Amino acid sequence: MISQKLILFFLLAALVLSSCSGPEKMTKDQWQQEMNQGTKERDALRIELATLTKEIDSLQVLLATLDKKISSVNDETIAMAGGTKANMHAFDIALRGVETRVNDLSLLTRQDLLKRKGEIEASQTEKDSLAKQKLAALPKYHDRLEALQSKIDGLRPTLAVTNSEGEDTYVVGSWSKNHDCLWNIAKKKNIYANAFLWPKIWQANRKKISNPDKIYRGEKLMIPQPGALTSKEKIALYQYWQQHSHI
Amino acid sequence: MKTIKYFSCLLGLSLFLISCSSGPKVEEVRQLQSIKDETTQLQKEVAIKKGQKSDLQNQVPQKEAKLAQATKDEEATKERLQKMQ
Repeated sequence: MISQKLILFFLLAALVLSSCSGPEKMTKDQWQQEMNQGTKERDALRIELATLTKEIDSLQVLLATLDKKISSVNDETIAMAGGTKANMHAFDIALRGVETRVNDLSLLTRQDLLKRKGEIEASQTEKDSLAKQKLAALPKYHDRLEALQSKIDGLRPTLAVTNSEGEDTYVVGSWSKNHDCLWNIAKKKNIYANAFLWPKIWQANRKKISNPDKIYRGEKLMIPQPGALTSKEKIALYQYWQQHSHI
Repeated sequence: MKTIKYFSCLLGLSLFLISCSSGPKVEEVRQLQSIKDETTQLQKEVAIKKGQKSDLQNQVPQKEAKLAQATKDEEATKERLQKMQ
């Protein structure tokens, strides 16, 4: 009887264990359900992939068409200006030469620039000669030529402050337009680039300027060489501040 | 004899229950796994294609702007050449 119960117990235990063994084990229904779901998902992905491939292909075609159009318009523009590989290369070299020279000139001090005054005019002539060519109408050259012109123009004021005797002069402009006062004149890049040197201009023009706060439009001022204030200029500055502190 | 019959019945019932509770066949499980693998692979490919598409879509307005600029440059060149003559 005991053995019967024992056997029965073991059989039931085996039954329970076999049915419960491993939670991962799926039933046929679960398998079917997962198969259906998986197949559905896979099919949807296949369709999506096919659609994406088609869209990518059409985008690539569109981009290739745009590239072709851009290239065609650029070629037309160059042809219009009579551009060839050879003449564009030569033009580019010539333009770069003038640009380099003007850049070098713009780095010089006023005195050094005055010594090489002729190069500014030579650069202007070369620039004008390049600007007359049909290639200059092309945007990439047109923009560079304009930039070059403004650089050359930037060098001219330095030459303008030198009179026929080789002395530096400056003609006072109006306050409304040029904001010219001794402080602002000394501050100009082509004068001293240092506003604190204004007493130099004052002292060099004592006959014209009795009151440094008052200079007049059209006055031609002597511009002494740049450098530290001399003792005479320092004294004049000291006296000027003393007078102003009393006011 | 009675006990043997009793045990045989019990054994038969147990085997029947075990066989009923059993899952899909090995081949079927493989089939399911294969679909799952394919789905994973497709998901990766779709992600890559989506990236490609987005990249190409971004290029379109850039190229269009480039074309517009090229056309504008052509017009400007034409005008400058006319002024030169």
